Amino acid sequence: VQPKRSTRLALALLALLTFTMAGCGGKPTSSGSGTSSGTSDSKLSGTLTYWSMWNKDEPQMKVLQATIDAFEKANPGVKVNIQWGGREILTKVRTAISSGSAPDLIDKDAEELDAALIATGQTLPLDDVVSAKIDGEDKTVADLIAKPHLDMFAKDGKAQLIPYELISSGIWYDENLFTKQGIKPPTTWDEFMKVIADLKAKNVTPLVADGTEDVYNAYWYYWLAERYLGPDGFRKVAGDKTGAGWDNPGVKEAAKRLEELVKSGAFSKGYDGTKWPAGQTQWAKGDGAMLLLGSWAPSETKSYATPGFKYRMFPFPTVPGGQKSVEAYLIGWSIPKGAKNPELAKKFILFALNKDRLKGIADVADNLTSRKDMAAPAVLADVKALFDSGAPTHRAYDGIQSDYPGWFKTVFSPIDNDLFFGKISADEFVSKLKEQSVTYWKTNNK
Amino acid sequence: MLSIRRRLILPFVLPAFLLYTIFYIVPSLASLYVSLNDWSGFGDPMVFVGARNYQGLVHDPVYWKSFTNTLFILFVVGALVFSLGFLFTIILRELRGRGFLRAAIFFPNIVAPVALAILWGFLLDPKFGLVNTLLRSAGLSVLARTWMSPDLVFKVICLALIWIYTGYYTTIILAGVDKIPAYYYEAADVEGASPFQKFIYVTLPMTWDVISVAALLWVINAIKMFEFIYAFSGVGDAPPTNVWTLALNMFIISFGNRTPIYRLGYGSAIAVTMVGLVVVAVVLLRRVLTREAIEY
Repeated sequence: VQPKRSTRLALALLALLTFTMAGCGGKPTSSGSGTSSGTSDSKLSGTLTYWSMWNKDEPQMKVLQATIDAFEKANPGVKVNIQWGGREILTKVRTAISSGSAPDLIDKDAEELDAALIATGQTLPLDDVVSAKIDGEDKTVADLIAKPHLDMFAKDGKAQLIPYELISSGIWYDENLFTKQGIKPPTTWDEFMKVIADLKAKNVTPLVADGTEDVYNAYWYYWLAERYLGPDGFRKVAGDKTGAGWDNPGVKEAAKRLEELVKSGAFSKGYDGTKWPAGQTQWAKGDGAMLLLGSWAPSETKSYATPGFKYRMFPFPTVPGGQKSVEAYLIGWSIPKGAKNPELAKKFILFALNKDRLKGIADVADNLTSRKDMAAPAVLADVKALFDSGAPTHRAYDGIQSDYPGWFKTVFSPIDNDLFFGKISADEFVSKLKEQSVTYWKTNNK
Repeated sequence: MLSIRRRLILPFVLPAFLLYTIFYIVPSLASLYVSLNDWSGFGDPMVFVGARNYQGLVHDPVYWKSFTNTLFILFVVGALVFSLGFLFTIILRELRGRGFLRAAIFFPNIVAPVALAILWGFLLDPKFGLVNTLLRSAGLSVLARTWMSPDLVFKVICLALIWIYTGYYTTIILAGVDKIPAYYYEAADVEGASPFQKFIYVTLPMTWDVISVAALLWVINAIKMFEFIYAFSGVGDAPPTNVWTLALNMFIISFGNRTPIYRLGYGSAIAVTMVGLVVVAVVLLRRVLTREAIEY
């Protein structure tokens, strides 16, 4: 009567496991006539199997589908076998890799690609793509995509992922509301707290949150820790098996700022039980001034935003003596190990990065492309300016979400929620995390 | 005749036996083995760690939270589902138009749990939700709550589970009631029995076998409770750990969601403890419920 999803999945995986353990894992690789990479690019042939994270009818899917059609048209010998797999595509990819039927090309958020494949060495190096010229242009990938974005997930100095979309996070607001209330976007934490006090005095809810989403709640502490500890600082503390990292004064300072913010009553009533997307909807309808969210905020909320809503974003406030880095959350392509047609996949990447084809990501999908020389959609001008500012970059959640996913979900998130909902103090937050992390790392490794 | 039958046993039993062995027994044993390893479940090599995963479970507050949540569903939700089921049995047996009512209480079972979860999410929104809006407009603002806040969300989920499953188990029990010959109830009526007495002295003893099967189904269902909770609190990412059951814990640790954890070894250890729990619960339940079936 009920679909027993967990059981079915577990059984499927266990069945698969039985087969791999019995030693019949690697299917003989069918010799799909590969591209002769040596010859010039005029005579491409073969089948390109491409598994994408997008679902049918999503804007990015439409953009990529147009590119695929163009690729097939430009190379009559090529057939692209596309699968729109949705966000849990990597589980399928991993299963396919272990059964010897890996696709040739995949796309996904870099953090998740890293956790699922790159970190365990299951992707092919793409350094030759980085130095190659983009299809129909004179410039190479390295010329047009910022080096930090190509290096972020490199292994032994070789890129494993070519980003095509850039995401960041920051504090979103409606410019009209700020103008009406006579408020200027703050840059420092003190100014930010002042803005909150001003808004409260004017009877405007300063901040909205979808409190049932752990990862959204975690934005606050992670950003504060990023400001106090700098790129890779929080990640080092999180992974410190001795627990000594938690004694770093910045760790507690960050917690104290969050405690102050929560105590100030900045968040809308009932934020601890607001289920996504109710909170962001409320914000887009003008009930609440600010929202800390990724740069997908405009595209996710625009269909119910109040008329004339003017999307603006300011960077997460800085703290005295702190750092000012930019979050770079990439979406890109990787080629899994065991791909039958990696050369064709590389050609496709170079083809898709062409300005005219990639611009759909900005124009149709309302997102930032990975190319430095391409314009941003109007709603993301602030984000683009942030990337262009030349500030150092850091990974989303400082890389913790993908490097230590178990710790992030089962140790950090519950305690972080307690702090974020005002149930524990900053001191308790730090001592609890220290204690539980030490216990956790005794028997766990990620 | 008998010898032919005997010779036919093997060919008839063998396919089922083989399939069962390949798809149930071997994977179960495999997961026992996997639980002794540190392994992501994919290409990378397994590292034998002995009982380390189990030691980890002992010190894992999230595991114990999901363990107590599972027990809470098993016993408290189970007790309420069956109490309500019995109550509906008493009422529905004698009511006119019971066909309609039966369908109505069964209704939650024909809708996908994911859809129900989304519906409940809408009803319970602190600001715009129907529940709080109704309470406020009825002048009962004091009763309005942040229903999905960490303190309440699990209780609300349990309430929803009761709503979903009561109809299912009532239907099973009523199917048993339907085959009880009417003259038992007629005799009870003549003796002047109340509906409650009729339930205790006629319905309960004569449907005991049905009820014990239903209880067994509930135990297994409760221990692997998954989809509604998963959908209720995890649209974007995996739900917060305070609502995890063992099944959710096992799934999220092994396969992850948008934050993939991929620790199949640890997840298998959780699965093994779940099997243990099912075995203990089923054995205990059989002890309690087994009695001579009444023939009629």
